[in-house]
Amino acid sequence: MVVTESSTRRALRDPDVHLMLEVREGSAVAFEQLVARYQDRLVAVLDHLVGDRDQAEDLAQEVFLRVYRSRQRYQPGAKFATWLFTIANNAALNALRSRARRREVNLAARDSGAFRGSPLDRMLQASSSQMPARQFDKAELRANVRLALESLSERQRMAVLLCKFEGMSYTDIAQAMDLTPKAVKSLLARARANLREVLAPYLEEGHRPGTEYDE
Amino acid sequence: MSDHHANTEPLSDEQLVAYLDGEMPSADARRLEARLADDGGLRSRLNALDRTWQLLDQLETDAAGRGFTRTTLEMVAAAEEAERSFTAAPRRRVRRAALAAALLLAAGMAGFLAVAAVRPDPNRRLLEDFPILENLERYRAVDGIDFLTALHRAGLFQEELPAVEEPPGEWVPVASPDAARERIAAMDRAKKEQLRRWREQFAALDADEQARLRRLYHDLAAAREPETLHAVALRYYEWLKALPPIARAELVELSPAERVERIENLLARQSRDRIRRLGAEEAQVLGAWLSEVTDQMIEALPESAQARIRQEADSQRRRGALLMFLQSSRSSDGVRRSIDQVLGEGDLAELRARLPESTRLDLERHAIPEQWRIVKGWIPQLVRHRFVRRGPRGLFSETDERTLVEFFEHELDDAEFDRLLALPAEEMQRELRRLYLQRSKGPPSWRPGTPGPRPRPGLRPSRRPPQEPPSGPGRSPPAPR
Repeated sequence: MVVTESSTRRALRDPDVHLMLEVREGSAVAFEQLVARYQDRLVAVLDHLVGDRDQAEDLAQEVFLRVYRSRQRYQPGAKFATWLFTIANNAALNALRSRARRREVNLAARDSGAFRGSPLDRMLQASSSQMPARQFDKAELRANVRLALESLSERQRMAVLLCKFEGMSYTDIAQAMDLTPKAVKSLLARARANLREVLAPYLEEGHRPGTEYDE
Repeated sequence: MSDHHANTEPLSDEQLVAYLDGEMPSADARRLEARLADDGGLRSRLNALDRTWQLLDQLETDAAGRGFTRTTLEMVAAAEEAERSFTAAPRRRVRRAALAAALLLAAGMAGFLAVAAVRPDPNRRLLEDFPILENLERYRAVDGIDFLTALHRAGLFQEELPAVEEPPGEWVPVASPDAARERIAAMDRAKKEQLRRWREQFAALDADEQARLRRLYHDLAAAREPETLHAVALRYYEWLKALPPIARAELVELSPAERVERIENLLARQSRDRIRRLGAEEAQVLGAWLSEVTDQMIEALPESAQARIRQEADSQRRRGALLMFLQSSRSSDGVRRSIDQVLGEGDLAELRARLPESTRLDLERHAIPEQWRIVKGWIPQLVRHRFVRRGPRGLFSETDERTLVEFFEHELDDAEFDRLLALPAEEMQRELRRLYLQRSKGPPSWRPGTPGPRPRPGLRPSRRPPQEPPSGPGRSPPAPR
């Protein structure tokens, strides 16, 4: 993350950046405030990213630990959330990669049983079996939305989560994910097209998601 | 989007998504909006993308777990401590090396221990609190060192309670964080996870309670017999846990002095209740002991009773008849003897010596007359155990069967009659004998000349011919009612 004078000026408008500067000066109270303020958001994003609640909490703690360890080198160059999710993105991708490596080993060791398929395969199977349109209950909808999210690549998923749940701009997402804003734009478009495809059964004309499924 | 192709160029998903995300330049956005007014297909595409995005609202976003903030801060604090020790490392390494070199000349082992002793420990707090964490619930049940001392002085919880499993948990001296470290290092994953939970529980307590527990532990450490008091605390907690909730609640309400008194009473009552129940092991010992003293007991009876008992064909039935005679509250001829009148203290000592240790200790807590009363209380239990539950006939001779039929026909009320009929044949007969014994205190043949039980007023008349033996559903259907 390149820090320029103008980026610093912009960053200093963010109150959380000021808290982080206090942390840099050794304030434990400020650090506690930051943890309390961001823990739920961070755990939620990581949970959706790695698909495992316990691992998400472990990762979130690792992220906060990295924030703390980086405090003395901290230079405000972006909003605090952008910086935090930059660290989260790196930590999550590392975790997912090492999990994928373990899975490869496991798959290699497993004898040739029935192919379980990727989340996308499962999702597509689910959607085809659910045609034509029918009433879905909320739990099923939630499960399928989650599967749809899992069907995205890790980078698409992260971009979607930051855009949807953190309300981050393409520029901020680009900073957090070490991409250009143009790449983010393209990533999000592909992600949303994929989601549209696998969630097609829920997109019948006249359905207004989030209202007609309410219990 | 250039002006030239503004209304003809196909729009990519990328552009539509950028529009939805508010990331499209405002001029392009205005042009897109103009096209949307006329282009139904474009509107559909945009709507589909928008609705897909809205579907993501269905994803659940639970808050971080309880204790997340605290454990995160603890983890960071531990990291900071480790960081500090790392920063100080070069100076310390020199000191350690010099110290080690010097001490190596004197004694290698002592040098190692000295270095270990000066090494800063990032887990200091955890190690210090470890003995408290490991015994958190147990120590929380104790008011303070005075209460434990009072229990100890009253002689309570000095030894393992028979009904309570001996709790694990060694005494870890305060002066030995190394012992705690070793114990933690040796723990498996599940135990470490348990320790983590205890630590969370401890951290969730208010500061006063934490301070109280630390004080209790330090008082224990300073006591003359810390291991003994610690064991008392452990046993007290295990015992308290097993109490019914109401008794526990009442106990907790009392002042420490009153509580010690109530505990003493409760323990005595429990001991009495326990000793009065005959377990399988005790039944075996008692049965063997009784078979050895049967002849001696018969000889001590008046002649009329001896003659009656000796009528029985075999030794087992003689023993049964003797026991029933000794237990019987009915005495047709006024001859009564109690077991302690026909046996001596030496016989009782012989029985005690053979009993399982916990039963023996419980029995020895009582004076000799009470010990005899307890043994007398065991005998009917043994009779039930030996003669009623076991074997198809038990104490009953073939000639008794007719009396049993009479009893079945005339003495049982409707509910009992139906219940017995519903049982499998063998179980039904066993239950019938049990009921007969319960009401008549002995098989019919023990009371020569005594007719079978007479019909009680208010009971129904015979339901089947008396010569027909009682039968369960497996043999023949019950007579129609």
